[in-house]
Amino acid sequence: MGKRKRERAEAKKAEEVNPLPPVVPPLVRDSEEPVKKKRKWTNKQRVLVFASRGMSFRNRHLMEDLRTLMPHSKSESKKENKDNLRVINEIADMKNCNKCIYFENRKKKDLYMWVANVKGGPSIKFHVLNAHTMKELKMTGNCLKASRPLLSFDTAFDSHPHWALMKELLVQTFSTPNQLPKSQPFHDHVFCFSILDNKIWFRNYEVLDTDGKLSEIGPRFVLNPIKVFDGSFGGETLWDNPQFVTPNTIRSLKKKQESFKYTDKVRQKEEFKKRKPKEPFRGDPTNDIFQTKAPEEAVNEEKQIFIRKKV
Amino acid sequence: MVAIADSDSEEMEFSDIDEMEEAEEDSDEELQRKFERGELKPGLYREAEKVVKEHKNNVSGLKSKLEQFRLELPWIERLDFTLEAAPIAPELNAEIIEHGQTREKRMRSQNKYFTLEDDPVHNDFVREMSFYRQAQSTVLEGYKKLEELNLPTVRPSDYFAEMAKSDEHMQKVRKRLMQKQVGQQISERVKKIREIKKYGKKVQIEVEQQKHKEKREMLEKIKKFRKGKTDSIDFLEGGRSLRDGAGGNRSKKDLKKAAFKRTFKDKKYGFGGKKRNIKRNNIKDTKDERPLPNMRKPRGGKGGRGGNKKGPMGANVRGKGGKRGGTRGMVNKNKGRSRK
Repeated sequence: MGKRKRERAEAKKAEEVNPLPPVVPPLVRDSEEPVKKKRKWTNKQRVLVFASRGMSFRNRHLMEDLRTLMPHSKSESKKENKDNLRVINEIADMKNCNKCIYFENRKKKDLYMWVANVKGGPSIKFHVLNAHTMKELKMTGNCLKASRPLLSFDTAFDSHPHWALMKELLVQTFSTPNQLPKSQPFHDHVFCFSILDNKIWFRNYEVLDTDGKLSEIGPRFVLNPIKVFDGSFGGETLWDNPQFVTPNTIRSLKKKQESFKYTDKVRQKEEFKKRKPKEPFRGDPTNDIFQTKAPEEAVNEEKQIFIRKKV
Repeated sequence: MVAIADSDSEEMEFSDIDEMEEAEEDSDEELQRKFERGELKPGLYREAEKVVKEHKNNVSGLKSKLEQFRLELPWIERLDFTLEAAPIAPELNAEIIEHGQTREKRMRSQNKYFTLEDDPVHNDFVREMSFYRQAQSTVLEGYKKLEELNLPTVRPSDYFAEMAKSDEHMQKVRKRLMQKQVGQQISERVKKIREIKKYGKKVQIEVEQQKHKEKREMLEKIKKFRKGKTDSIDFLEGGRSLRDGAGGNRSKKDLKKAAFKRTFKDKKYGFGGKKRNIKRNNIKDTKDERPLPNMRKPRGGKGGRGGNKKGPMGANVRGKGGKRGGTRGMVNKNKGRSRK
């Protein structure tokens, strides 16, 4: 709590200093007077970006892309134990980070992304879909490695409290702090977060021109929010997504449907076997009696049988 | 739930997704197996009531949390925007429409019931465009703000610093773009050539038909003339126009040359008169001392070419092959000796 207050106080100070009036040094300065330290880098956000074991190569590239695009990020080796997520708070604390992006891998194919405010929460669990990395050749843009991105949000983020909370957390994690020593002076790319189909779509564009020409840099991914927790990596659930279906359920349903296809086929075959008559069909023997022919068509002996009566 | 220790309840919260998954796997087969093992007994169990999961949406909690962790920072620290997408630029709109049209045209030829609304590809394009427009509005607004604060905006082309993508990677990207462009150009050219060919074929057929027609007419006229139905042969003059059209006008010089040639040939071979016995010998020819124009002079050397290849026998068999051949063989032999 104390730290937050301090942060706020610093922020206020920054507000006062920030419009930056032209600094004119005084003509005469006393040598005894201690030199005032310039404090420009006030918003000290550091983000820990790391993952659990069992990550697919594409997702690993995605993580590395995020690291390159966020100069205020720190890395950490892969986490072994999947169960105890509270340890992450301690890891982040040791790394001096107050935000964390943690990629949780399940079954070597499902990727979940935790975004957390380490001290005091909240934390959000996302399911990552449709990940494309920066390495793909169709993404033609390029930007400075450490320039600060503009963050673009859809207006839908203000529609519901859970979206608003997600927006605030995303801003705090993804925006590079002002005057960060590692950062570059120009603003040449945009992070774009849009809401579509109850999911957050992430895009990263390079700005080619001041009139708004863009080209995509990558990575791109879709975040399907699952839950919002009160604490960091735990705590009371504040919101959960009613539309969320676990990837396991989707897979099992698909499998079931496929298995139905097979069982249906087998059952149909068995039914047909039961219904199939064992003997050939025999008609009524009396049917033959009434088979006649026109006398004109009769041949040889038949001529004597089929005769037209004279009236 | 209240009695459970705080930490436990938290654990439950974020691990219940997995529990849900486990519960789904409790299938009939599992139960049958349990029954065989004697863990289940008939009559003791009934089907569990289906629990409808309640989804949480703690609005007040969300709001208070937001207030709690929000950082009241000036805009320059955050650089965030919440904006509507920029209005569709006319060229973008045109692009969307064009994409839709080409897509529809292509897909209609394959599938009769194709509609653009259900097409995932076109929808993809439209969706990406909406994201693009959102980012665009941010850029326009953001650059305005940055310029007010006297901050640098777009990266100048002569500013060199480490980039997010390496130069090597960008080379690859460029190469791919070039390939794509070249491919497009080639396909366009092929299309054009195909069109031209189609048109050219048409023209060719027309010209041929015209030629045939004129020839037919000419022959008919000649027939008429032969039968004496017409006296004039003016049509021959007219007929020439066809050939002129094909070969172009002959120059006056050429005409003169041709006329000269004709007169010469007439003088030499005669024009009209009797054609018989023209190639027969007569006294005049036999007395002529001049050599005949086509008579060959006997050529030396050729007869004995490679004379000695088959050995002395070969040379003998040839016999008439000529004296020279023999001598040549001798020369070869001499050569062989001299080497020894």
